[in-house]
Amino acid sequence: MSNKIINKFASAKTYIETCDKYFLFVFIPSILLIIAGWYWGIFIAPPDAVQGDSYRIIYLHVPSSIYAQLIYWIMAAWSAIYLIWRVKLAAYLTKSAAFVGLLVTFLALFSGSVWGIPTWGTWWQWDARITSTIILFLMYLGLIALHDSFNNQNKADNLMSILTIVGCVNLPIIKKSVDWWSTLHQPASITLTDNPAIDPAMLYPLILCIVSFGFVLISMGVLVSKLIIFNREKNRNWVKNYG
Amino acid sequence: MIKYLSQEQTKLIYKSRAWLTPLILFALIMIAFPLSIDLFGKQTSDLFMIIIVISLLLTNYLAIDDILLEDYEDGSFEQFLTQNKSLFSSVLAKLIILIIYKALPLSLLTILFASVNNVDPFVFLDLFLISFFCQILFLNIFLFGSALGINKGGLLGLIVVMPIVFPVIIIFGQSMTLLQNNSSIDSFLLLSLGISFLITPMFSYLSSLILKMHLE
Amino acid sequence: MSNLIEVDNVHYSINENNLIRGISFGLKENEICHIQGVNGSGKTSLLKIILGIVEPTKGEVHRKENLKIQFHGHKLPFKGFLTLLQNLKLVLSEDELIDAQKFLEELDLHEKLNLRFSNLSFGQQKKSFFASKLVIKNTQVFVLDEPFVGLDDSTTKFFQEKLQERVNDGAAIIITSHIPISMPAKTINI
Repeated sequence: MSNKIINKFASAKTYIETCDKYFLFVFIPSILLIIAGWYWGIFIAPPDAVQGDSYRIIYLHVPSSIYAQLIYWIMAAWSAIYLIWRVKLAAYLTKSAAFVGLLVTFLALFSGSVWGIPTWGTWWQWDARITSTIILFLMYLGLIALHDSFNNQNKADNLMSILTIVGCVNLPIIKKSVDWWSTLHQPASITLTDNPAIDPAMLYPLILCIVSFGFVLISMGVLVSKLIIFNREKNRNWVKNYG
Repeated sequence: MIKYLSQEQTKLIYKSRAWLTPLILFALIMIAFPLSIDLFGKQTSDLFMIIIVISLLLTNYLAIDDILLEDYEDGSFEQFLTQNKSLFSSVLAKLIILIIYKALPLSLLTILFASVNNVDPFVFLDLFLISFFCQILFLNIFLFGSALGINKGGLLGLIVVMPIVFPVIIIFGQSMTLLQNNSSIDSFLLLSLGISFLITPMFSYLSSLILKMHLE
Repeated sequence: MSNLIEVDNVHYSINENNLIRGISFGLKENEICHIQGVNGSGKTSLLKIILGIVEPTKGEVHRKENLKIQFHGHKLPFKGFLTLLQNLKLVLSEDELIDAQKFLEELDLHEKLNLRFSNLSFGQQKKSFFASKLVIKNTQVFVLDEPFVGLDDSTTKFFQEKLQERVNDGAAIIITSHIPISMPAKTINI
């Protein structure tokens, strides 16, 4: 009974219709806001006392690093929903989130490397955070590759959900072991946690960037999920009659 | 179960290529590594401990080979499923045979090369146990990976399980360092013994579930 | 007499494509079921559902408890690096092995027992595997997926006779075949 209700409200059709209705209301403001945030961060915020202008990449780096982890937890939640209530939409969303997560993790790694050149003098450092982020990147890659390896999509959904949840058990283990490893080896030269308290003039644009970046990612996820849903349900009548 | 074990044993023994490849590769790495290093002023015993985990990783990845793929492609798993409810006993038998016939000799080889490289004989037993448990974990994880990516080649499985492999590499690498510094690692060995016992049926079960999904 | 296998309104779909739409039939002892359909109509999937390898999307398959099924499909699970005899030893008990050797003698394959399986020709491989399936004792149901592909006419006839013997002894057969079979069978179209 409860399954029927959930499935009615969480059908892909309802989802697409709702998204179509509100998409532009999220997409346009989020684009405007992120442009504003970046403009504020790059041109208006004061330069850093130590790092000069190079620190300004945090307006890309920090949001993407935050969402790189967050998206994985969201995926894990959707996977749980799929496994417990068998809501197909949750599986579609898991896969679309994996694509967005892959992109964001790449952005985080890339911007971190670019930032590393002027500050650390090297674009790569075997720091605990970087290592766990590159592992996270591999996890997203693995999940996507795994899903594509199945002919039977329902089985692929099942397995991807299971592996996502296994991965979210694995995440803290990775974090702990990596921390242990890098602390035993050598202290990282600079970690973000040791940063001095950030100046409000830099902080406000950062918050703006984080929030608006979130909404940009949501709209991106919606677009990807739309592609995935249309592909998966292409034989359904509502897709044939769409648009 | 014993029937399956002896079946898998026969299959492995007569397939000498699969059985010998990891041993030979390991021996080659062990012979080759001192040659790649300028030994002046350094001791091979120190470097040996550093290189051991990563060479075990490589050889174990190779040891899994096509152990699942072959039975998947020639329909053996389908035959097995028609006689039994699940593939669990088949996969577990394969894993146990792998551990006995590949991980155990490799651990012995580790000791052999440890003595070649002037490692303190005092740590031989610890070294043997560490490399053995380390390989049990590797084999479990790679078996899981090769079950996941069975119809898309070994690389997919490797990518998917790499995040699980990294903590193992880190932890066992650290234990090697501890061993090198003559610290006691008894409690760690006990922990890995427990984990090995837990993880072997668990990963065989997971792998058998996944294989069944792939057969559909 | 109750059915050995009962297929009850089975549906099967992959990725929203309906392959099998509502098939029902029962299989009794001494009975042969010939499943017919064009290529890609889901014959192999139906067999896999009957075997329990694949779960049907809708409907159920009831198997009698402890039913002894033997399956002969497109793939030959004998290992190429083992000899024919070693392969047989892996899957057969001692009594069955003796039967199998007699059987292979009738097929003129007994001289090949100590050859590696990969060195046999495809027809010989197919024959020896089919023979190994037919000698397994206590089998109640044989599930055969295109068993006669690649076999010459006389061998096909020979195997059909052997199958008929097993059926007369109480076994049942589910078979798909494009090659017409001479055994009396009920036909199921999908």
